[in-house]
Amino acid sequence: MNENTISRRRFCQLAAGGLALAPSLASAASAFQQPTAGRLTAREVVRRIRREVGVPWRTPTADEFKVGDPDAPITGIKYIQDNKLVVWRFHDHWHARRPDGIFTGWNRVMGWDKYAVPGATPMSHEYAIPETRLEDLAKELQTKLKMTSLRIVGDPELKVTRVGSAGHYIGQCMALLPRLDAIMVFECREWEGAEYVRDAIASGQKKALLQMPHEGGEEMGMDECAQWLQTFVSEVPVKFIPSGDPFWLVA
Amino acid sequence: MTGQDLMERIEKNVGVPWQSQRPDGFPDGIHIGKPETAVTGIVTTYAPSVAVLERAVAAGKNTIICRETPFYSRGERLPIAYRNAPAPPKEVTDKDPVCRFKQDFITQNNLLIIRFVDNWDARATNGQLRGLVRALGWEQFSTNRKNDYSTSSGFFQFPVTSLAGLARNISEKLKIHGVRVIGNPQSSVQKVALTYGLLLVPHAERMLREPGIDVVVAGDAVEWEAGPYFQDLVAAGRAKGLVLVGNEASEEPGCGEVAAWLKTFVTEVPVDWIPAGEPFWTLRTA
Repeated sequence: MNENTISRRRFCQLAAGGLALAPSLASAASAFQQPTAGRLTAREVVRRIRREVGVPWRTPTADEFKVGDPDAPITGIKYIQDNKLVVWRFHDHWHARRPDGIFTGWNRVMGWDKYAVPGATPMSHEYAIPETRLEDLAKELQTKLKMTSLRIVGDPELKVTRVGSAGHYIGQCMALLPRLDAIMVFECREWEGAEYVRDAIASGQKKALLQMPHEGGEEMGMDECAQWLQTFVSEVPVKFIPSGDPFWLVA
Repeated sequence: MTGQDLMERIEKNVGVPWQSQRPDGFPDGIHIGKPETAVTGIVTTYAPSVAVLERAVAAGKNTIICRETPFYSRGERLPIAYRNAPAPPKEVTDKDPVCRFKQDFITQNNLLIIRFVDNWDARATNGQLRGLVRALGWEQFSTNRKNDYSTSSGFFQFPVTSLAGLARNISEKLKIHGVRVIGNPQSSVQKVALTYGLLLVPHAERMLREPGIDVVVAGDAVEWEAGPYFQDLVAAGRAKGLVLVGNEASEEPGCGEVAAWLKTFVTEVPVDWIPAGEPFWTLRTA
């Protein structure tokens, strides 16, 4: 088991104390307790985020307070007082930034900024990488993104130079695969991407699919988010705590 | 026997009032092909993949009865927004080289693609669960002494093993590589809840109402829902883990059951099950 387990155990101890949290944000529970720092509230942090995010605020949006009192003082972006955290979801607007904050973090961890093909749309990110075997590319992704449940469709010996991120849906896969050697999906229903790519191969095309955990595509973007928050939240510590790939594969 | 005759015979034998699903999705019935086409032989499978279609044609069979659709979508028939995609519009699939290749192959070989999911799953005996249980060799461990497969999930009591041992056993029985697990590999497990296909959290919650369930085994899951949910169950000591065998691996044995059932009332033409096979490989097995 990894550190992730510890954080979740801690989360559940907190939850047992009468707290209900959005599960996807459970790792916030590993936040350390900080002495109250001045009067900075969650509402004030969100006000600053809306000012800094650089895209018009949307209505409706998933980016809202899920749990907690927005006006409670902040002792860290992850707030614990009397067994209560403030959970504020930040999804739509972080993705809406240009460049997309999630991909900025992902590119940095992969070291692929220099390979990015101009013209990325919100739903497609393409890279021209030095030629590599599919299996070696999979190993590189697994190592750099710290994944433990990567699954692959395609010939391990396939030479890959054009690779792209096809999101989660079949329509995105169809938009990208024709002009790429390999597509990456970070969670995609198995009757969609996997069946599509194996048919592409059966029809004689040299193609591949790297099916990765949802977490592997997005986690690094939240590290990026912590770094961005630090540029305008200086009163309290801001920390990124990875959730980690939830799955392991049978040996 | 035409495709129309076959459909009428399936409706007559299915044992439940025929269910027509939402008109904006993909209902059971002839999905591609002309109803008047003469059936030369029947193949059942999980997904009508190019490889399955080629094997069917090579064996002289023109009728494919499947759970998934030819063009990689369940359309809008499931109310699970953001969990799967809307069906790509026809102008997209018409242009897509993979879809075009498959459509041409279907047309040239005069194939009939028949989707058979909702009505099969509505039968009194759940063929999907029974197929999976038989493939795993778990009949003797069922807590349901009647083994009547009256619901979409079953409970199984094993001699104590580890979560890793259970997952390895499943992997070997189903001959697959991409089994994904949440939980401590060393935790001891005894009682297992089994289902097939895409696991949604409400279904997992229902299964976990059965006392003493250590592990839930399913096909696949919505990661941002089932992932944290099971991580938290494990952390809270309420369950030992989740084992996901893959959508195909969990659904395919039931497609073998469809073939066995069809043979009881279709005798003019051969009926065979062609498994689509697990699509994935993993680095550990490379």
